[in-house]
Amino acid sequence: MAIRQETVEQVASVSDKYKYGFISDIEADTAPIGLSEDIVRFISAKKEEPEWLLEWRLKAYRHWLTMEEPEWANVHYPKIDFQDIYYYSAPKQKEKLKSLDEVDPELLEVYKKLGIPLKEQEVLAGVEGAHNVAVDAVFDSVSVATTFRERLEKEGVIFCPISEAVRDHPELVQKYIGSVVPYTDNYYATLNSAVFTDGSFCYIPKGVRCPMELSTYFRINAAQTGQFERTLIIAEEGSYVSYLEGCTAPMRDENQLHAAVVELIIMKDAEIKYSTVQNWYPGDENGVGGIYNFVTKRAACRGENAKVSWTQVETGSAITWKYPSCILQGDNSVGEFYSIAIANNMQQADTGTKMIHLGKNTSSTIISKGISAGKAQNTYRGLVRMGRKAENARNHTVCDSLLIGDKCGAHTVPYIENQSRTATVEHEATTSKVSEEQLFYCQQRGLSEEESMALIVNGFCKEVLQKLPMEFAVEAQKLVGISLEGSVG
Amino acid sequence: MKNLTPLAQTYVDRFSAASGSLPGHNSPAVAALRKSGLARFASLDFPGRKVEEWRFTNLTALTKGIKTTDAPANAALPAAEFETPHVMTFVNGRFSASESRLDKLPDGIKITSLAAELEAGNSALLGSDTEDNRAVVALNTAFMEDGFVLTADDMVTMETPLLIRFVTKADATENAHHMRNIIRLGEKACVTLLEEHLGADGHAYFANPVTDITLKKGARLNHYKLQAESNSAFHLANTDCEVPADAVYENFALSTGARLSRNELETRLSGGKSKSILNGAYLMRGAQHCDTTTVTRHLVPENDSAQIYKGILDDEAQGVFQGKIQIVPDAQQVAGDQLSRALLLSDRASVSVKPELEIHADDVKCSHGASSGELDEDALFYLQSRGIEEKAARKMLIDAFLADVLDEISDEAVRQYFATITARWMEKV
Repeated sequence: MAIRQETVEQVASVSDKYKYGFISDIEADTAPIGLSEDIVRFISAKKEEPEWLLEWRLKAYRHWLTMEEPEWANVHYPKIDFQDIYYYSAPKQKEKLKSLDEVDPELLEVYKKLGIPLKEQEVLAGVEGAHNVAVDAVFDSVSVATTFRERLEKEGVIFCPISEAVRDHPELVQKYIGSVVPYTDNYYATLNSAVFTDGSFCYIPKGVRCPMELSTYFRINAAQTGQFERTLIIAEEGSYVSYLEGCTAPMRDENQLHAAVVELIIMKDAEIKYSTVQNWYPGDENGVGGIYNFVTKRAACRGENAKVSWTQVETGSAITWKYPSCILQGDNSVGEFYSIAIANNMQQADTGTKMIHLGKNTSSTIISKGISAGKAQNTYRGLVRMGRKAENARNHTVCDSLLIGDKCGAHTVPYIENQSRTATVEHEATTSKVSEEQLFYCQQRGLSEEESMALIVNGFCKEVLQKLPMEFAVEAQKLVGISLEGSVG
Repeated sequence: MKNLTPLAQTYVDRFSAASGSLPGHNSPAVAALRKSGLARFASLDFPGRKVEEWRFTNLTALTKGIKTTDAPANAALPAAEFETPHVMTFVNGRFSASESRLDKLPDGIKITSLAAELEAGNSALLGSDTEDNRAVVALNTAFMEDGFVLTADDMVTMETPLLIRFVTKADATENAHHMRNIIRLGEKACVTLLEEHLGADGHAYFANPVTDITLKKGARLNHYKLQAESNSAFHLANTDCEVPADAVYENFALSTGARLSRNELETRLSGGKSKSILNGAYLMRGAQHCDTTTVTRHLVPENDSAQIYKGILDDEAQGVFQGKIQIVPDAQQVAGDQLSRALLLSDRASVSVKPELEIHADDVKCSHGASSGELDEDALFYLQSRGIEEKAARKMLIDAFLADVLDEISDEAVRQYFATITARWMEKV
């Protein structure tokens, strides 16, 4: 009986194509539609920001006006009307909340549906150990709740919405914001610098090993809204932090823009592990609706032996345009990029990484697994650059693409620039389809065609899935199966 | 209209005066073709670094204008070393009958000069203008002055390689030549061709050859090229090849010359069981820059392509390899492989690589590999531990590195010839 019930639930969860596609009717506080200097000022005022930050935003906005939308990526979409977007939307708050209990119940319901352990369950944590994750939840334009703060504060770890960090730790924010991704960086990063509304801020002091995983959940709820969050993580000398982010959005037949910036700063002997499960609404089979995910992520390994590791599972979004990068400045610093990008139906993904080797003995690893199904287009685009001074630097890159169906495309565009004699760069890429024999073998063992496909694809992705923290790995594995729904037969 | 680069402007300015004396000026078809080439060139200009296909190769040194020569006017050029009864020679961009030997060609093989063909009114062999964004091809269309026209009848096989030499002497009056070569092989014809591009060191000029190849069903062309231009020259070459069913196109390019060179190859596999084999080696030193760019288009199901390119870069030399494999929708059962390796012998040498896969069909097997770095320390140590001196051990490893790709040359005589040239280059390392 119990088994049967489980099966029924599983079938229900699988046939439920995009289970985060609900819309929550939450009263929102919204800025007028469109973009102008006034909107930038409005956002800044709303956030009660200091003068320097407003100035920085305005500089970014003015620079943005001089820029052109990039067209080099292998993605095609109608021109975005930047005046038809709400740049600020926040769940309406009557007054300052004292505890989670006062949060709009509708909002809590949303998080429950998302499966986020938002409530602090410190008691349970000791027993199960499973919910040992501190969460910052960003809803449309603002961060609504951050958990486990007390426990973190004891260790000296600062983990809060970036708007709070601006207020409480302005010296840190001012020192580091824009130091890895300057406001002039690229079209979307510049736009983000002008209008970013919230995001997470995280500071790990010298020698501290963050006692738990830090996590941010992003959700776009309001219609016609753009989400522009900015994440800033600083790992001081000898510290360690593992950071997770997850993203969802309701099903709507319009396209919504998500243009985030993530900056990581890693000092001597420190390490940041950054994991993403990106599951924005991908649009329907005909490519109607879905999120445009144009994200700039970059990590700077500033000190010796610094290490950064990007792990991403990209299954959502109508369009993904994302290249988490590592600048390996410190000698012996290490950069890693593990990625699974799945594109089904009409999805388009153009993603990859940049590894800029500047210091001696720096090393980097790139493992990219791209899966295309339906009519999707999936592109790996990456850069490995060995600077003149990158003595004995090493890079190893593996890009594998899997094609399911004859209407999709898989593309690989690596750029390799080597200026250092003693540096070694290795790149290999393959493209193939799921072999008939493997499918037949699995089916012969009693699995359905779809299950067989999910099994084989999971095997194909295993190298990357293993790099995810445990909490995410299970979810990601399921996601791989769901994303490929309907791609067989 | 935007400002053209100085060199492009001189071409645009010179065109109307020059076109009256270019071969085929009496033919309205040729004149129209030249005009459309010039218009396209004027709208494109020489590509700058912003053009994606040219991000690694900077043409500024060329486009600001070629400086006059400072080579001794009578600098000797090496005599033809490759032994074959069939030799065609172009000197300073013009066919030289006195330095050619074409009387022993087998029946069914015909080779003439483009200038002669155009003067005789045979403009049809040029085909129509290609509508793409390759500026130097458009420039060639506007100013083409000579070149070879090779045709082979159905079923004809030519055993011995045909040698075609393009020699630029220091007494050349023009500092640029735009050669247009045409190759047409009939069904099941088989021809081996070796091109040599040579120039007197110190002499600055711009060589802009375009080669247009069409094979018929089952034909095979072994096409080898030695680029040993003057160390002050610019060499921008384009070769297009159409490979239909059962046909095979083999190309090997050995580059040792020119200050800046780019060898661009585009093969179109348009029939089942067709095959393109593109290989090459570039040996660069000093401030040389060598760019190899290939585009392989798989347009129908069931065909293969393979590529291996190896480079050795010394001093401040720069190597570039860009290789794109494209598989269009429904071109199933295709295999495309590519390998690019570069050896850096100096701290100032550099290499940039962009291998690209664009795949729109699922039942395919494609791979590319790229590596760069110095000699394997472990291998070197192993050889030394066996009593081999470091210098000899290094040479042995470099030899082996190159042998890998030289072995791909199917013509024995050409393989040996290229091995001699690479050995000579290596003596100076």
